[in-house]
Amino acid sequence: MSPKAYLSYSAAVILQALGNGYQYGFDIMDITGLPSGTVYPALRRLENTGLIDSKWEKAGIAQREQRPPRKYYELTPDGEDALTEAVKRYRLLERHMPHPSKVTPTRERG
Amino acid sequence: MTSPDRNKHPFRQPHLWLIRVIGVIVPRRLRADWRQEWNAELTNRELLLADWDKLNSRSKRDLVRRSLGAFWDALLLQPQRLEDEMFQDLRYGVRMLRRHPGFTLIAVLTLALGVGANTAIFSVVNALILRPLPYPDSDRLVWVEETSKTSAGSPAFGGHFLDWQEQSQTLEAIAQFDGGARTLSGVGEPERVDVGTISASLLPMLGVQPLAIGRNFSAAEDKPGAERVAILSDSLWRQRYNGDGDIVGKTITLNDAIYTVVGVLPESFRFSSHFDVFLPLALDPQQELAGQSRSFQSTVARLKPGLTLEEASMELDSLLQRYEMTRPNANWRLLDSRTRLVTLHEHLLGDTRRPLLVLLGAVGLILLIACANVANLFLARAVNRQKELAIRAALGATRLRLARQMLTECLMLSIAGGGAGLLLAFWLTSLLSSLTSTSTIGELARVAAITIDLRVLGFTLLISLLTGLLFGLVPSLQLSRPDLNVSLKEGGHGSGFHGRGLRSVLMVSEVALAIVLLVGAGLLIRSFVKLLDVDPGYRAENILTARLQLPPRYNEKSRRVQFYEQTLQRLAALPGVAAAGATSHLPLTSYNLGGALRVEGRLPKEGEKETTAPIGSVNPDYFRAMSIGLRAGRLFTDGDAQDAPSVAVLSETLARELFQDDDPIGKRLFVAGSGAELTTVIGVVGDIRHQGLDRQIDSAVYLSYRQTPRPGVALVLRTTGDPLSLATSLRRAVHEVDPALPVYQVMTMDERLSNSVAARRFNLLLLGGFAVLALVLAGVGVYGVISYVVTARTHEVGIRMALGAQRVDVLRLFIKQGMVRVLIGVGLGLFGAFALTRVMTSMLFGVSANDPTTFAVVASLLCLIAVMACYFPARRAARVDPLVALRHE
Repeated sequence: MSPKAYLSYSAAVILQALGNGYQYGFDIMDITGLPSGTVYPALRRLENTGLIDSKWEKAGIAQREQRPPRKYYELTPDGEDALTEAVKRYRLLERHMPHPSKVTPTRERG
Repeated sequence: MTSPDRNKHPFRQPHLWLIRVIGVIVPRRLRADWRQEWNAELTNRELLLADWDKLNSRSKRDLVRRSLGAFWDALLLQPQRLEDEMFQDLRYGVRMLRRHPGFTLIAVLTLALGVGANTAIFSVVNALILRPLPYPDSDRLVWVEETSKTSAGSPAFGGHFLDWQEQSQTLEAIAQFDGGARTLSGVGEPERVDVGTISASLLPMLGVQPLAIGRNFSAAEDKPGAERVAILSDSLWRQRYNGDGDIVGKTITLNDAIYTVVGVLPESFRFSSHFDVFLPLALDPQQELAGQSRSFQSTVARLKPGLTLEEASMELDSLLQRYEMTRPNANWRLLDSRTRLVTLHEHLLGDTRRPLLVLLGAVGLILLIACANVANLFLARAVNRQKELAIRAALGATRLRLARQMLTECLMLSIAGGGAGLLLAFWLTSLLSSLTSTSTIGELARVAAITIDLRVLGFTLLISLLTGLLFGLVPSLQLSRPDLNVSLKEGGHGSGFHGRGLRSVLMVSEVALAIVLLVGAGLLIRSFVKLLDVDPGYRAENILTARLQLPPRYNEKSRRVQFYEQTLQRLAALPGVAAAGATSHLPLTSYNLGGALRVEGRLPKEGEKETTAPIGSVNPDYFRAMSIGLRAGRLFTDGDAQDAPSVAVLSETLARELFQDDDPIGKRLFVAGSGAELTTVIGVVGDIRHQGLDRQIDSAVYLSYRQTPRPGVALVLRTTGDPLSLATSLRRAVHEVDPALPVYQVMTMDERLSNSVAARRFNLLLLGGFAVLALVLAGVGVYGVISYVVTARTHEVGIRMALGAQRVDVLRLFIKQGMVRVLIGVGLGLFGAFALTRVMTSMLFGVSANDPTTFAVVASLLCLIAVMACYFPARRAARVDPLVALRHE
């Protein structure tokens, strides 16, 4: 698939989120408001078409934070081109990006 | 923040537990990665939110919802699992097929033959039966005929046509046309061209509008006495007038009359009759409607949308009745006439449908045989794969997985076979389309082009895939159920292999299918042989024929006689000519309805059918040239001239019909069209089959050409050597008398006879070819099965021989084993043929569809081939050294 190929709106939103530096699947869900059943299949598709790349974070980071290592995603150069194209097409893309605070979980009192 | 306990109870951490469960359906290659990613994300989120116990219910719900989303993620990864395994199967399949190139080659070739033959025949069926005629809304075009008590279907009368054209509410348009040859002169050599006279409504009705150049006839030009105008066909325009763009307005000369060209037809125009030039039909409404003359022409009409053939037929019938009742001054009324409408497609298809469907059925059988053969090969090869399959099963491959692997290989074979078959089909189709002509498939050949189009390609793909499934499915299911214990122990050669029964079934069906095909072909061969044995009434070998048509400048009878006398004299004098004959009525040329005959002094009884017979005008030497024997009386002499009493020679059957047992010689007849009051019968000659070998004997009246010289004549030269070597001399002789006269259809009588059976030969060639193919495939099939049995039982043979069995016993053992199955197949096949060949009845001649001779010969032929196919592997078994055989696993 060439970078010029058609991108769905949700795929464009996910690219946009990646472009804005949200690299983990759950963060992308938070920022875009899309459900996991949409975000993950879309990430797999984008990865298959070469628009994004995935890597495992270094074990050290995970150990420091006492959790399993997470997988993070990055735009490839093709992906960046595709995002530029998509932004031109979906002019409202940036405005539709929800604010992160909206989905920040809250703690139960007590 | 505290670290979460990794071994928490599922109910306490349902999200992580869900990921474990859902992960089961993720393709194995991706599973670990997938689980880790989801685990990490969920755990991370949980950490962010602190301990599960402290989460509020909304956050808990959010986590569970997210982990449920993982289900979608896993589900959408499913195609990858299939893809992965499919690629594995494909890669593995390619490896297996390449490792056994002999097997692959034979299987692909067998399938290619089956698929190729099917595709080729289907392309013909597609072109002739399935594809609509090349006219817009062609399903509304109908062919109109009139039927009566005495005629099963004849062209419609001009008067009826004019009346229908004016009155009909069910027809959108109706047109008539007629054809005939005329001499085109002017620029260049004069030549005979086929001229269609058409009503002005024909071309617009067929959707030929606008023309390539110029215009159609106007209604005013389609009237008697109007200006003479003509439209040219594309081919005549290109060939004779070099595609002259300014042809419109120029004139051409036909039979010495001058016509102005008004248009040229587009190249794409196809019509059921071949016409070079079109002229207006120009029926005279006064004459036709008044009933003073009766002309009849072929009639085509276009139904109004939504109307049926029956509705239109009923209306035309009632119009016809009213017309006949109210017509003034009618010489005779056609009160028992009815109209018959069939679609134009159906009319053009004529008798071709049945043979085509029989051929399609035949190639279908070929494909089945090919499938059985490949399935057998596959099973045979699988013997060597038993161990491999058992190991794979032991390592955990499911039965479905093994079956799919083998089915993939089968489909690969069938696709390869289909591809090769398509190449074969391209070649076969062009061969078939060169073989199809009006003499093999009728007028439809002019209208329909046999090509491989998308529908044919789709058909090929479909049958390739179906073939793959057919020959692959059963063996795959069989083989994927290996008995691990036995297979592994016996190294794959043991009797534990359960494909043997299946192989026998396949072999029996192959033999049965081949028998059906062979019987079909055998019946056609017997028909053809019987047909060629039919005595046409003349001897066709060593005869050269040619046709002439005298133009209007020969209207005077004496000029015609003079021309014929001079020409025939020159021809008779040619070296190598034994007799020079001339007839207006050459056998195997278009059939003249002939005229009415009445015996002198015998009044026709009420309701008695009038005797009619074709009336030919011949020279004295015609009978000698054709070798038609004299039965009684005498033949014509030079004395039977213009001023002598009118005389006639009758054919045997006609003489018997008219005079029963009386001596016809000297009796007098009224012969319509002879120009004489009464004609004396001077001789009786042998019967001939004018219309063809498969037709009944036609009665005939022969008149002396000196008394009734006709403008159209066929020259018949009996030669002592090769007839065609005289073709040039014949032309020269004619041109010495009249240099401007075209000589056409110069061919031997044998050639005409051969053309007349072309349709039968076409069917015979194809079905015969398929039958031979079936025989070969069945033979190979039997050979394959017996070879396998021999290999599988080598060990046993060793024991038998060690215990004292002789070679001949071993030979007998295997031949018996093979032949029992072959005989079952033969029996089933004969039974099938008995049921199926009746569909061929209309294609047979002089043989019944259940001809016992054919059945017996075919059965013996196949048994002979089968014995040979069993003998060779059996001999191999018999020659084996018992010591070697005993060591054989």
